[in-house]
Order: sequence, then structure tokens, then C-alpha cells
Amino acid sequence: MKGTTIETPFKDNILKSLSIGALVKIKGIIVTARDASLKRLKEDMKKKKKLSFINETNVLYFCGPAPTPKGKVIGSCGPTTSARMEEYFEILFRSGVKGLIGKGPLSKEATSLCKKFNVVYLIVTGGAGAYLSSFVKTKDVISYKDLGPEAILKLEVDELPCIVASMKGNTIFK
Amino acid sequence: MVNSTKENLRRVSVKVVENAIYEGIVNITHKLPEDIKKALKDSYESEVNPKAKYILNQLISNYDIALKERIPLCQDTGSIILFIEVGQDVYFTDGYILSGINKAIARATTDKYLRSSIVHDPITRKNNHDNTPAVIHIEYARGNRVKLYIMAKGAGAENVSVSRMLPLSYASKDKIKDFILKWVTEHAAKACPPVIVGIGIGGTYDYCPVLAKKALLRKIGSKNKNSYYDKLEKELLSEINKSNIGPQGIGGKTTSLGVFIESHPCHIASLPVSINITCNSSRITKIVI
Repeated sequence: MKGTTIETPFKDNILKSLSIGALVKIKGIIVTARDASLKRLKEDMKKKKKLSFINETNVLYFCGPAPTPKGKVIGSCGPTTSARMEEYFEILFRSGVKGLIGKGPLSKEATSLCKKFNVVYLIVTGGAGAYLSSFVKTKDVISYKDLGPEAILKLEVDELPCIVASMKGNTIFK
Repeated sequence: MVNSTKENLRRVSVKVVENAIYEGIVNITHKLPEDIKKALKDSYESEVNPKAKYILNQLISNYDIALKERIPLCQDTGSIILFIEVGQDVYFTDGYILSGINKAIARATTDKYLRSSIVHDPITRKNNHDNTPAVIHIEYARGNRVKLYIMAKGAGAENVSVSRMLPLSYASKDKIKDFILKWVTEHAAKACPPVIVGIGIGGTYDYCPVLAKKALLRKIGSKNKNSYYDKLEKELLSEINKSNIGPQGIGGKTTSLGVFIESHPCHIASLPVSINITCNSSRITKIVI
């Protein structure tokens, strides 16, 4: 399957070039987040109301990598279940997030919310963390280092293979 | 009074068990069992949905890369669960067996083979970053061997597992099948399909989910010794794969690689049923000492 390459940050008209089920390859900066970091991010945003990374990227990846082996850029780094993060969607979307990468279906409410804010939800293959690590070129901790695997990381990815799973209120899931 | 004669007992050093568990954990983090590899390859061959095929191909690349580069198959290196059969003629020496098991896990974490995936307290979510303690099921067996099954289980699939005390009106093949099918098809997409389904039927409120987990220890393609349950397993697998959930939930006929049932006698008033789902990265190893 051939896919089109799209760069981050996603542009406002990103949805025009996408369709459900399409293969896309992400190039550029993405930021990891998951349960513990999103909980803390939400608290911090109540105070500062701005995402520190939003000027650099508007694409979040629900992921908590395994430790980085010696000589590697990153350890195994597949997606975690996106539905668990839904409670943070609105605050993230209001702060400018335009793309989410994760795995598994979203609720109807979350799918509608993505539609409302013109957000695209992409999936990468759960269980393919070793394979997916080969698309990561650099890794830096942005914040919450104490959370270990749940820290917020900035990743530079090259042609990370994703499938368009939800946008404009539609979904790929059966 | 206890009359202990140790002459007939086989001495097994806890250090030996600890090292074996350490090796086992390290192995399963980056080495997918052969039966799962074969099942993924076979599914790739038989799958007709191009996107499903694309995903299965990634999973095949994944196990090759993980093995070659010695990096975990999945970033969720999981909860470490052990089923241990201890021969009654075994006598453990050089320490306390449960401490030895947990030391092995902590060591595998320190040596960076495991992600710190375990919070010490479920409410405060404090993470001690050592992945201990393991969940351990110990049973006695005849003889003087120690048989260890080590499972590294991801949370995505564990989170969509279930136990129910069903009404006795469900005590028919069709009704049980409907209950299992409905649950699995509604939840499999979140569990990194193609999934493997472990089912416990019978026992008690506490034992039924243990049966479901134990069912997952079976190899893909293995037959159930009970022909009634063997047939039920095959029917369930076929029905689940007709659901068109597919790999990662995006469609296709590869939703499950295997369905395994463990049954146990139960009370005249009860029908416990548990479903324990596991993901495509089913990491299990067996070690005999």
C-alpha cells in the first residue's frame, strides 16, 4: 500500500487531502502523551492555558515507550488505547491540537468532537512497537520526566505509517 | 507434629528459579512464541482485505525486528503473571521463592528490558519503577519438577476482559456462545486484534477468571481435551472471525488467532463465565526446572 506523506504541524485544511482508510506517512515533529501526563497537562493548562509545544507541532501520539536500548534512538514505541484519553480531547482541541495518533475506536461523542474541531484521528499498529521505533529519528523529553514512560516526549518521525481512522464524523471501525 | 524427612526431596535453589525467570522474561519481551508467529503468517496468507494484510505484514516485520535488534515486541512489556506447578517432592533452598521471583522482575526492569508499567498503588498511581510484585498462581503437582509459565500481558486487552455470574438460563451451548460472541465482538477492537480469547467456565467467583487466564497458556492450534469444548472453541473462533472486525479493528477476517476454554465443576446454583482477551503480542514462555 502506498501512502501520501504529510508533514507536521498539520495545516488547517489538512482534512481536504485525507479520506477514511487512507494510508498516510507522517513526517516531522509529534509529541507523546498518555494517561498520567495528560492528567498533569490538564492541571497545568488551567494555570497557563497554552501547550508549550503547540507552535512546533499540533499532533499528539498516545504512546509510552519502553526504555531506550544502548545505541538506539528510542525503545519499542507503539500506540496505546486512544479511548482512554477522550476526557482530555476538548481541552487539547481548544488549545490547537489538530491530529491524534493512537489505536482502537473512539466513542461517538469523541468522534463528534473531532468533527467539531476539524481534527483527524490516525491509527498506527498496536503490537508493532519495535517496527514503529524504526521511524523515529530523534527523541527529547519535553516535560514530566519523573513520569518515566509517561513523560511528554518530542519525537521527530520520518514516514511514520498511519491509517486515517476518524474524521468529519466518520470512522473506519466496524 | 510434622515429620519431615528430606531424603526424598529434590532440592531446588531459589537462585536457579530466579535466574530462569529472569531469562524467561528477557526472552519473551523480544521473542514472539513460534505458534503466534505461525498464526500471524498463516493469517497473512489467507487474509484478503488489503489493509488487514498490510497490518499483519507490519506485525510480521515487528517480530523480526524485535528479535534481530533485541528490543521489546511491544512497549507495553506488561504485567508479569506466573503460573507455577510445584512438584510436591521439591524442597526450595537458598531463600524465599516469592522474593526470588520478584527479584527477577526487578532485575529485568533495572536492566531496561521492561518498561515500568506497574503502579504500586492502584488509587494513588505511584510508580516504583520496578514492576513488582508479579501476579502468581501456584499449584501442586506430583513429582519433583518446577514448571513455570511466564506471561507478559499488555493492559489494552486486559482492560476489556470480563467476569460474570450468569443466570442458569445461560447453561446451554447457544446461550453461552451468544454471551461470549457479543462481548468479544464489542470489545476486540480495543485489544490490539488479532486477539486470543481465553474463557473460563465454572468454578467460583474468584476462580473463574483464573481459568480464563490459564486457558491462554495453550498453544495456537492445540485441541481441547474435552471434545464438547473443543467444538465450542472452533465454532467461536469461526464466528468471531466472521465479524469483520479484523486486525486493529479496521476490517478483515483475522480478528482472532485462537479461542481456548478451561472449565471447572461449579455449584448447582451458579454459572460463572470469564473472558480474558490477549493481544496479538501474546508473550508466554514455559520453563521446567
